[in-house]
Amino acid sequence: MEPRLTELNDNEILMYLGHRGQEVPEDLARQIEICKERVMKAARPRLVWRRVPYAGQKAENLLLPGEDIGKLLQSCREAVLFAATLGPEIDQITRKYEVVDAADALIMDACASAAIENVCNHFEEDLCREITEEGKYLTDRFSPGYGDLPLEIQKDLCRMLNASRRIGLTVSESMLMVPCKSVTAVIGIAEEPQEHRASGCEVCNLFRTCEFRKEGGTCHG
Amino acid sequence: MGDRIILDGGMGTMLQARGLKPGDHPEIYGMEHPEIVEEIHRKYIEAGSNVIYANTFEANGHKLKGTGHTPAEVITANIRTARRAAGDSVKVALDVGPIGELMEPLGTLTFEEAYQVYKEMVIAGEKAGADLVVFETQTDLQEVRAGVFAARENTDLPVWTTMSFEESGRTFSGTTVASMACTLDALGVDAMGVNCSLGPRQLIPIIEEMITWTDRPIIVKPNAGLPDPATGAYSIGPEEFAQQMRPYSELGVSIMGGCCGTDPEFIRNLSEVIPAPAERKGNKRHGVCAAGHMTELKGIRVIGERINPTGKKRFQQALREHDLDYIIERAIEQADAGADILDINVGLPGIDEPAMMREVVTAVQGMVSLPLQIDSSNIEAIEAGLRACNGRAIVNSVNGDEEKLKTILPIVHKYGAAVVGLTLDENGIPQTAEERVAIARRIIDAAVEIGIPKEDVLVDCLTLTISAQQEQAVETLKAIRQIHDRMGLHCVLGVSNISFGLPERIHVTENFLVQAMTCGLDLPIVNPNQKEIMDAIASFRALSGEDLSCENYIARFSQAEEAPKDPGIPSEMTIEKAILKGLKKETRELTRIQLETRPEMEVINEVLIPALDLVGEKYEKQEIFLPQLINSANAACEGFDLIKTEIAKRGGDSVSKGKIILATVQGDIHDIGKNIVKVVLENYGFQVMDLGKDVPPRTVVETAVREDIRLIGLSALMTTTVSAMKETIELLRQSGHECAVMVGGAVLTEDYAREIGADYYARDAKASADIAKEFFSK
Repeated sequence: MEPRLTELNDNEILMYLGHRGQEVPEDLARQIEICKERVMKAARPRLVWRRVPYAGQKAENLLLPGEDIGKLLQSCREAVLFAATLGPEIDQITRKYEVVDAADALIMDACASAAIENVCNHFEEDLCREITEEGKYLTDRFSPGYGDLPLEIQKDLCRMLNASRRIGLTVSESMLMVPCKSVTAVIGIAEEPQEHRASGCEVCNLFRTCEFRKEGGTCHG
Repeated sequence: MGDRIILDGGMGTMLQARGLKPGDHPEIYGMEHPEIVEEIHRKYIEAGSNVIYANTFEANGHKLKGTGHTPAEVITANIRTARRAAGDSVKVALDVGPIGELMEPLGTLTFEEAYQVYKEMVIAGEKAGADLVVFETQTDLQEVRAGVFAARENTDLPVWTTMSFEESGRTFSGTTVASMACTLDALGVDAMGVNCSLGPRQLIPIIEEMITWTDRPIIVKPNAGLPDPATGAYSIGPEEFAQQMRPYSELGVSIMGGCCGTDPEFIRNLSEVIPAPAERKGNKRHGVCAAGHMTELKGIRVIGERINPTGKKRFQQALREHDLDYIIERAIEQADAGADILDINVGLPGIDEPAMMREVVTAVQGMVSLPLQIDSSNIEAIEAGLRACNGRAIVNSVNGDEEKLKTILPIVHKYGAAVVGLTLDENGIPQTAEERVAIARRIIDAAVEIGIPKEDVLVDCLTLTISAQQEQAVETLKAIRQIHDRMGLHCVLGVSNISFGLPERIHVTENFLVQAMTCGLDLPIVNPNQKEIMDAIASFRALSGEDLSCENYIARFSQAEEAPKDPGIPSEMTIEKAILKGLKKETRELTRIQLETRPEMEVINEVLIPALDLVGEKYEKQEIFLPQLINSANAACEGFDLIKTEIAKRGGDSVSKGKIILATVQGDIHDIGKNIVKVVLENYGFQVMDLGKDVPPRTVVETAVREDIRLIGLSALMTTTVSAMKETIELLRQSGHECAVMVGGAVLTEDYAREIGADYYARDAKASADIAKEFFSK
């Protein structure tokens, strides 16, 4: 499966920028467009994944501690470990704009967050297609640091994927990923259909004017 | 070792087949099961390997942390095992992979830390009996440089280096093939090449490029084709692998082996099929580079002169206040204007020049991918700059003075740099072209004698001011012509001095530049922000044929035709409106107009700050959101910057409503939030001392005490780094230094902030400005 990066979701970018229903003036919209182009040009999406046996909260020999992941994967006998990154060019260019124009940097950072999400979502779609053909089902994707799955497993997860050699992704002593715009995650493969999380506000038609969002909430609790 | 050297193949997969679990340390496994590793080595030797790589790839202090084993212990055991298998007829290489943490500026590992990690390894390797050291699977040229220096300065082992490239011809960190080859060739490594990455077929273009930049022996050690992403199995077998390796002999590659997915069968086929390498032909290309960018010395190459405090009050102030962003902006500006190389000069009385040079070189290279020219008369500063410089640099400068030649040239040679040779000596500047050429010859002889190729001496025939010594312009041009025509060398020249003291200097400067380029000047040192200068260079390149089909000329000037005329500022525009809309140019211009009639502080307090307050209010009420707030702050920044420049010009103190330290705490490298806070604080007139990211608690305390700063802002993004924040606060309290601490970052809350002992919680950039205002009004 090749990494795929497609047109970014504008609402998602606005959400990352803390948008709460304000009017988006034309020159700001233009600024966002320009930043988006820079990010799309600099992004070098890469991903690496492995399909491994899962049992007793262990994916192969990687222990996945915590109730949340245990519950999510409770009916799974296989799991997919994966890591994706946009590459260091994004970090470099964002840093450059932090000096030249902090607002551009801020917007580019939001675009890059949307971009890595985009790559992960496409990977999930592609994987789902393959798994569906086998008559199996995927769980939601779950990353170290979500719920009670400790951030500390990041290192071992990357080691199991040989991520530094395969896609240039490393994990620092304090468990930060470098390059910054990177994601690691676990997805369960189950024999029966799985429940999925509700999608976020960014896919909703009422995003820009939603009264719930203006108050800082959502319509789905 | 003869003409052709056969290396071994993969180690990891063979160990896994014999019981190593994925995720375990192969080096520790090898130490515990020497018989298994020895058997693998023997199989490779039987298959035809002349050099085997010991099982030491990740035996570094960083990767072994927490395992209870030291690099020396693991390396010694694994080298001994290899040695036993190799006997005397086969060579054993200490195999050194990447450390596993990314280096500055992407990561946090410093050059010195990387050097220390590698130093420990190479010393242990040599002691245990390795015959050579090979740095392999590397992706960051700077990390390779740290390794090469560690090996050179601490052992007598030959040094081989191979990096891993993607099909794009770059490594993951963006190092290009040309930059790698040019830099390592100049550093004099014993062999270089590619390993891992891809299959043999995909690597051919990379090797074809590499051999144009070096005449060192070339290593190719590819994977067994491409891996299946789900299973990890490789795509080609031993025979096909050997067949795909054959073209490398024709290219003159002399050292071959296999990487991931290869086993002794691959090596056997390889050693049976591969003939002696063909002779390498063609001249080596010549250039200077940053890791991600090659500036080939061919045609006109512009050296930007703007990073230099001489005669620039605002720049001097930036150096004194340690305002690296100001300096970086000058670098970005010149890169955008078309500079090919940046001159870096940070010499100023009272500045620790070597430390500043190291810092500026690192900071500039983190933002701008251009080769650098290290400009100093301080030998320690030159060495500090060269050591920090990732790529191949130029030293500015030596001259005909024996003493200078003796001290500077060895440093130039050690770091594989090029060097500017000024045609003057201890007796001053000679008045005739002939005498200047004679000095150039002396410099070249001295350079060649210690091993610097003559084409690496870039001769500067010196510009003198025509308003003082009018007859000298012709001598300079004559000297350039001789150096270029008779000696075939590159000429460098700072041109702008020619017009010093004249009105409308640009006309004389531009005309002199064109004449000098006609005589053979190819490396003009200029201000690339001056449109006329860059226009002249663009025209020259079109006329000389360097700009093929005039493509760049057309691109440059057809755009100019299309650009609409600047409509100017509409009369109804006020500073307030300009700031609110985030209009930079307008804010600057309107500030200039205000300054004609009002004192600086009044403009700040009665115009700029009230406008920002209004923006802040709108933000609080959620009428605007974050990017708009920052756009406004940026616009106001233009006004402040103009005022700062005005004040610096007349030598006044800087504007400051109070000094604040900002730091992203140790272990944390996400500092965009902190940088946003900085922009906002500065725009309220506060002086921010930005300590950057990954800042040790001690540095924060020391700076606070030394500079007597009473408000400290700390930022942390992750739960894992909030502990470092707490530690910093504790250390501040222990020091007894009276100060208040404000904290912010994604995971922090009001309660959490109190829990770790902070005085203020800053929800966002606006809140931090409010806190600062409150704090300093007390």
